[in-house]
Amino acid sequence: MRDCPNAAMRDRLPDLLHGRATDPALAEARTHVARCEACARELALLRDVRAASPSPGVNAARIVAALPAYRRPSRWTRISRSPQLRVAAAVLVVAGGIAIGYDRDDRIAGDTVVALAPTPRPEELAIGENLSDLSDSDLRGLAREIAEIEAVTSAETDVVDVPSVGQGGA
Amino acid sequence: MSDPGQHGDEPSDPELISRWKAGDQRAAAALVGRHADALARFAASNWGAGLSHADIEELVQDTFVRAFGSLDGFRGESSFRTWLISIERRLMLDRRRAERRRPRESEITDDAAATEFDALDDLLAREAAARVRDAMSQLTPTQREVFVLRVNEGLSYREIAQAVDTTEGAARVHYHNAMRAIKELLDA
Repeated sequence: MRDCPNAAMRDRLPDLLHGRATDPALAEARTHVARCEACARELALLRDVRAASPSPGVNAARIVAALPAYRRPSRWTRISRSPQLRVAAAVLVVAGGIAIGYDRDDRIAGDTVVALAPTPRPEELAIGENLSDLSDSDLRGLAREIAEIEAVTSAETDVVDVPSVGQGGA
Repeated sequence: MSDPGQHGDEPSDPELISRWKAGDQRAAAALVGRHADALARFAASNWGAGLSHADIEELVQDTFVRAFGSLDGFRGESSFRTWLISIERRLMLDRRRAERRRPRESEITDDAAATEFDALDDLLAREAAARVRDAMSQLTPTQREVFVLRVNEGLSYREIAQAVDTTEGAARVHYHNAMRAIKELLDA
């Protein structure tokens, strides 16, 4: 036999066995089962399942005798279980985490500045605000230094480039 | 909705728990009387093939001892019975793991085996019941747990989800799959 297409009603069948639903819901389910053969058969099957399930009795008195006496939790335990304290602890942990995160970011940013700082930029080579501030001897010295720098650069270029050019021309 | 096992004007589980904390031992007896059989049924239906009656009684007792030893940890987010079942289930899973590590020879003593057969004689008294039990035994462990809690104990899907550590939707699916499988097995 096909199942009842009313899934919501089929869901309530175990509640009918135990009476664990609101009164209107139970009444609606009873009315439905009275008219629906599929649900009536399914409810009968559920009764069979329940009746067939093993039901080993237990000695309740022995269990009660084995129970521990109630021990009121210590003051510290009660405090540590209080919701307010848990919320406060959570807030502290989050705040601490954020503070540590910021601190790390700052340090990382500082390291980056140190790493980038040595790169000289052209304006840092400037000797003064204006060449007119320099004396004649300063200007001559500067001209000499520039000439030496150019000479070195030229020599270095020769060292690197000449062999390859020479080889290519040979 | 009343607590599972609560009848008429009987005090609710939270009321009984409060009374026990205040020193009323009768409240503990009432709680045990209200829920012990359900715990025994759950154990027998799910793990009955490997448990003697004495094992089941010990498991139920351990569950109550564990529960009453940590009642301050019960926050009432689920029903007391649901909480007890979740404790019993964890104890049983721990026991299963321990048994898997133990040498097989020591698993069943002569006494335990005899008790188990006595219990089975009672349980298999009727042929129809035996067929239903056989069908139940062919469900997956999770389907069986969910089905037993829904049909035998009348727990809601929400309560079942709390007891077996799953979701409400998954519990509903397990229940309907189990129902379909049992119908097919019994019709076959």
